[in-house]
Amino acid sequence: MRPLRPTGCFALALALAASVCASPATQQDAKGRRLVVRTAADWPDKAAFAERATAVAGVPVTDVRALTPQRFAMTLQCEDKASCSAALQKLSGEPGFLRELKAEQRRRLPAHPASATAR
Amino acid sequence: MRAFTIAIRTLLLIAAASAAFGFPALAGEGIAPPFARTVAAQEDPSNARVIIKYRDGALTRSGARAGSPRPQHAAALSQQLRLTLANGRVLGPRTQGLRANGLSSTQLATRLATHPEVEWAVPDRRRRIRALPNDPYLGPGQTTITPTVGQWYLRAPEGAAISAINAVGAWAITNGSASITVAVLDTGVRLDHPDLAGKLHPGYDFIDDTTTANDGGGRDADASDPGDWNNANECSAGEPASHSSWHGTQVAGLIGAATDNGIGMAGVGRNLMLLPVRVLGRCGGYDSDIIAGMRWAAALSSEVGIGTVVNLVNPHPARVINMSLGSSGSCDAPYREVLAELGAAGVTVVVAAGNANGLAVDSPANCPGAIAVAGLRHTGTKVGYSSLGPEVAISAPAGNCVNQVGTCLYPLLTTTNLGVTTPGENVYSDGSSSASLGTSFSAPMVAATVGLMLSANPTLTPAKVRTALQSSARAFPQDGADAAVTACHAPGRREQIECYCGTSTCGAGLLDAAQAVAAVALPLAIITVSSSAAQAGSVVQLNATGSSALGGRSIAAYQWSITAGVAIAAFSGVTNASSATLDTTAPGNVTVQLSVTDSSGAVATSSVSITVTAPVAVAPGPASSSVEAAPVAAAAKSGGGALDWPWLVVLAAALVGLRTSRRARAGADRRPVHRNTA
Repeated sequence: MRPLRPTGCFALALALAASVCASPATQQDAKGRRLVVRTAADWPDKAAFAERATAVAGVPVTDVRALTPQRFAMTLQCEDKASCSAALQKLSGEPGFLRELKAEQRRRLPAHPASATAR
Repeated sequence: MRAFTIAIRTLLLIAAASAAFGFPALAGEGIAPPFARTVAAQEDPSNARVIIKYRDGALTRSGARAGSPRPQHAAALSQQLRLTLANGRVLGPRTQGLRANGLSSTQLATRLATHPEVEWAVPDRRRRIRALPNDPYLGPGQTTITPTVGQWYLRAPEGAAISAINAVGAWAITNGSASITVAVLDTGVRLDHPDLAGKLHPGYDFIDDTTTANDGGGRDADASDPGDWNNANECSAGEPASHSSWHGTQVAGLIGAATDNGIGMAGVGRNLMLLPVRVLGRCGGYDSDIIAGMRWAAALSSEVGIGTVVNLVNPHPARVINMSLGSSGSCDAPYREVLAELGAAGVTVVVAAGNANGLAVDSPANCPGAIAVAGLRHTGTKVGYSSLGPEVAISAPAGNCVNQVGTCLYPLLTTTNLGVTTPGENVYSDGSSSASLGTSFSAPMVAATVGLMLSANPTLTPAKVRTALQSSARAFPQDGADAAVTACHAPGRREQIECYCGTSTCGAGLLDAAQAVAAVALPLAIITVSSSAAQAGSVVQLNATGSSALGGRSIAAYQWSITAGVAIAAFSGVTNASSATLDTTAPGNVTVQLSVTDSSGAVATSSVSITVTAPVAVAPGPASSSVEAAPVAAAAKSGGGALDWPWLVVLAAALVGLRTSRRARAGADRRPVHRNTA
């Protein structure tokens, strides 16, 4: 894989931050903002990953769940929208650390059919 | 009274021999099918019926025509074998039935098989059609519960119920193996439902958010469903309040409700086991919990902790995962990755297409590697609410009501709970307003069918499962619905209610569980052996003509091999024919393996053990039998301790008594029955 050029990094950061911040599905529950990220390298140690993510984001990163060695779910403990946006910008600006950054989605049970469509 | 005495003597003899030698005393020990399609009745010990095939050119010395197309050679064989045989039905060239009194079918077949002019002889067994399970809601004509059609979706297609999946037909091949686990990633399961008793492995609750979990905590080892009710506007603005769904319990019942237990319903997968994995709660569940649950269910990961490392190994890895969940949107990378990982690990993932009224398939059903299932009306058209699109692999009944008010006529009856919020009474869904409807319930039928397929052929890969499911599916009907119903088309922005399915919108066709299982089932490798105990220096005849293949296939090749005891036995002829001859040279145990390959290349194996004893000089006298006498002597000589002299006295008395009784029964016009001493 070729290294990203500075302009490319900037574009990626903007796109990632914009997608997370603008997404209507962005999840902010009682514990913070939930994200799913893909890292540039393997992180076999969850605690080390959480420490690095916290340092980069500038806010505590908690509840780290390893989905694969390069795919993690985590929660940003940001207090308000502004601090969340700032943390996301910082994470997006580190392509050597994170390659993807998305709001975690909720899945639902399929809606119960209406009688008109269940004929 | 005499018959009773004979029976007692025979039983005594059989019991003593069985206890002494540790092999099954009753007939058929050489026959070990991996699963039975019919139930064999117990053998009559004194009325033998066999099917026999003569070698080409046989019996010419006795005056019969060589290779007679209508063999009736009982008289000639009777003379040569000193048996009283009666001709039975002619079954084909050189093949006929034979009957005799005074011995069992297996005993007669064993004796005939050693005759040089006989190619093979097998017991003519009585078979019975396997009875339907006794679950009361399975059948039609229900009076105590709506719908009156009962579990219509499990039966063979009949009348208007075109989309019924014929699970009953699949059960004629396999009832499902308890070693195959189907994971239910859902809201949890009511573990105390009586029709799920004994069917659930210990699962896990992967919901880490306490509000979503609704059980007072985060992740834990309790996969029970506490209820997933929500208040108005709790999940999203404008969303109304809803009662607990008991969704996971409904899915679990369809896949694996305890079957033939005399209560409630039957599950498609019958003996399959279920693994409840709780990933959805109040307002759904997060991707990270779902993906973690998928990997844990398949034993790809044992990590269940949040923040810190907590390991809990799943001791019952799932071969199939059912996910009746999703949301609109494209397939996200995490699902692509985990589905690829699961596919490589041999795990098939079945996902509901969604209930978006003919809009595009939900995610993760639209991900590569997922088997997406769309929903059908009982008549086989797409049910109005089902999503559709090119990602759908196959379709199955989803439940439909026909009526828009009143009783729902074709819902999918399954296990559920009456609690509005927290758990209440465990019951079954019916035709009321809480009828089980949706693609959520189509997917479990496919998942359970996959479990049955894996039971019949555990070597299947997810790719082969998909191919077999699709190639065995029945064609979608293209007429018969209301005049306003048109062909389904590619999903767009407009909803499509009922429509005629095609392969680009609803997958390959209508799920047919019986055809799907038959398409992958391994052949049956069945060995018939002339004797499971032989003297060194004697010949043992092995026969594989009872082997068979399913799904329109045939047996293409046979291969015999010795897997143990090569130093004391060897084949004296070809080892790639339907029969083989084993020459024994020294005492010991020999294990012979048969491999049969069907015309699709599927291979099945079966083994038989033969005990070879030292040659024993048999004292002159009546009723000597190498088959029965030799092991007695061998056991006594080997110091096995199972038979000492009082038992030998009892055995001898029983043999003499049995012979005397048989003579008396045979009468003056019959020749006495002799045991084969070859």
